[in-house]
Parts: sequence; C-alpha cells; structure tokens
Amino acid sequence: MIVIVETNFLVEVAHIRTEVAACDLLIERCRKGELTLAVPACSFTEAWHVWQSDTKVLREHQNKLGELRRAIRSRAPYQGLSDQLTNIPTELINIVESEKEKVLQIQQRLLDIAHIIPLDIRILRHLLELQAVALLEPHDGAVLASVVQYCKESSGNSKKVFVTKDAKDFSKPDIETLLNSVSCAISYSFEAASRLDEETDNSI
Amino acid sequence: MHPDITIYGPGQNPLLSVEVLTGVSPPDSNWVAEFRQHMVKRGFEPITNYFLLILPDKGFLWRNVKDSHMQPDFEFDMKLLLEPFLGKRDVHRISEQALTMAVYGWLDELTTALDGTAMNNDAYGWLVSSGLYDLLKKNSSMILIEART
Repeated sequence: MIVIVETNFLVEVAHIRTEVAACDLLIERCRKGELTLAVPACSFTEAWHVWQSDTKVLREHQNKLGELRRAIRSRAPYQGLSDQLTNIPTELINIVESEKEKVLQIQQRLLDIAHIIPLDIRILRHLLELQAVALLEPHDGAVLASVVQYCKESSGNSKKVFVTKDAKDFSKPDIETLLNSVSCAISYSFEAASRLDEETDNSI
Repeated sequence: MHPDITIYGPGQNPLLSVEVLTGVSPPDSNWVAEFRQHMVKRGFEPITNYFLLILPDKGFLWRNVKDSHMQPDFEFDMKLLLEPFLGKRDVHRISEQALTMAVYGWLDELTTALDGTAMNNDAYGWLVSSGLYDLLKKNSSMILIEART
C-alpha cells in the first residue's frame, strides 16, 4: 500500500496536533516495510511557510504584550502585574525554536524513509492546467499535481491513498474523479489511514 | 527597507534602528563595515542617529549614522545580554525569528530599567559611552518599540 501525505502531515507531527500518534504509526509502518510513504517535495518548503506564519502570529502577540506591559507599568499600583508577564517572551521563543526543531526532525525522518516526489516540469505543467480551471490554490495544486504524477508512475497493484487534513479544499468531485483516474483513493484522516491495509476496502 | 526593530520616543520620533542577522559569525569589524556598506547600497539607510546590528553572539553600534562611516563605533558581547531569553541554547543554530524576539524582549527590559541599576553592569559600557543611554533615558516616559513581523 502506498500512502501519500502532504504538508499537513509534517505540521501534524511538528506541532504535535491531535493525530500525531496516527502519523507516527504511519511512519513506523513505513519503517517496517508494511507500507510506502510518499511526500511531494513542495510540502517540505510549505511546512516552513506554515512555521513562519505561526511564528509571525507569536511575534505579533509579543509586540502587543510589550505594549501591554508598558501600559501597566505606567500605573504604579499594578507594576507587579507587569512583572508577572516577564517570562512570557522567553516561553514564546521556546515555542518558536521547539517547533522549528520539530519541523527539521520530521523532515529528516521522512527523507530517511519516504519517497519524495520531485517537483519537475511535468508536475508544473499539470499545475498550470489545474490553475487554469481554478480547482485549487497554487500550493494545494502543486500537491495534487505531484500526487497524480506519482500515482501515474507507480508500478504494481499496490493500493494508493492520498491523505490530507484539508477536506475544505480537496473534497471536491472533480478532484476525486482525477484521483480515481490514477487509482488513488483519498482520506481526510491520518487515524483512518494508519489502520488501512491492502485488504481494506477503498471506501475510506 | 524597514529595520527589524525601531525604538521611538515621544511623537513617534525614531531614536534607534535595529537590524537582526543570523547565520553569520563575522571574523572582525571590517566584515561588519562591509556588510553595512552592502546594506546602504541596497537602500537601507537608517533614519535614526543610532543603528544597532545584532548577531547571535555580538552586537555592533553606530552613532551619527548619517556621517556615513562604515566602521561600527562599538562592538560588544550579546550572549550574556540575551541569555535570559535564549537560555543556554546554541545561538548559532537559532532562527532569525527567535533571535529578533529575544532582542525585542531585551530592548523592552532595557528601556524599562533606565534608572541606572542595569547600567552598573560592565556589559553596558557601550550603551553609556555612546550616549544612547542618555537618549533613551531622556525619552523613557514615552518609549515605543516596534518590531517588523
């Protein structure tokens, strides 16, 4: 069985979100040779965009916190309250660096065990076609074009499943039809995908 | 180009521009002067008299920036100053985002400790000698720190 994952798989693991255990199980099953994991190369860079966006939000909070502390400090009776907020910037930095390390770690783990789908000229041509019909935003389009190209080139009768948490953007009849044309099912749950095997029915 | 961090005084009067840079470990102040020259060529000319360049382990301060001299006036150790925010982690592996957050936190603390207590610290000799301490203290009632995100 081939399980193709994308950016939100890396984010799930790096940011320790709700389905991280299922993602770890998929990695472990891949390591044992029970399944093949494949990841579009473009998801590696997109994972950093996600990290940067999340970091931007934390930095904005830090700026607001600085303003808040200044406002409190100017009110003599409440200076103690300002001191209670002293450690928050350090904790925010810890979060930023910890999540950066986790992105690096999951990328290294995937490089060691997964198939990385290169972003080549055929995928870029397919991406242009997808853009022309405005089926997906560019980054999601690059993922879909990568998945389709990879499935086309995969030999053998292994079952293929594309797993994404992004049901909002990918759950469209045209996309399911496109994936079906290359014998690929789609799932919106890492947990469900982690329990799949060759014998399981394709209706996920 | 906007600096990573700007400190303003009353009336949004910019007092200090700060640029934060990771991924380099300059061999000497000549390298820093070349870097500064490169910044000017690319259109970055601070609008403030004081300009700070912060690297993970070192800081460089220019005063009277508009005189266009490229050699920094002061060079100082940053490790100790940022340690409350970065802990003991390897500063050469830190992201620019985290370093900027640490510098913001440090400047925030610094500008609220201008009563002189912190200035007894040897690590702040450059701050006093450069005149930046007096400038910040004079404006301390209305300081605003803005970080570009």
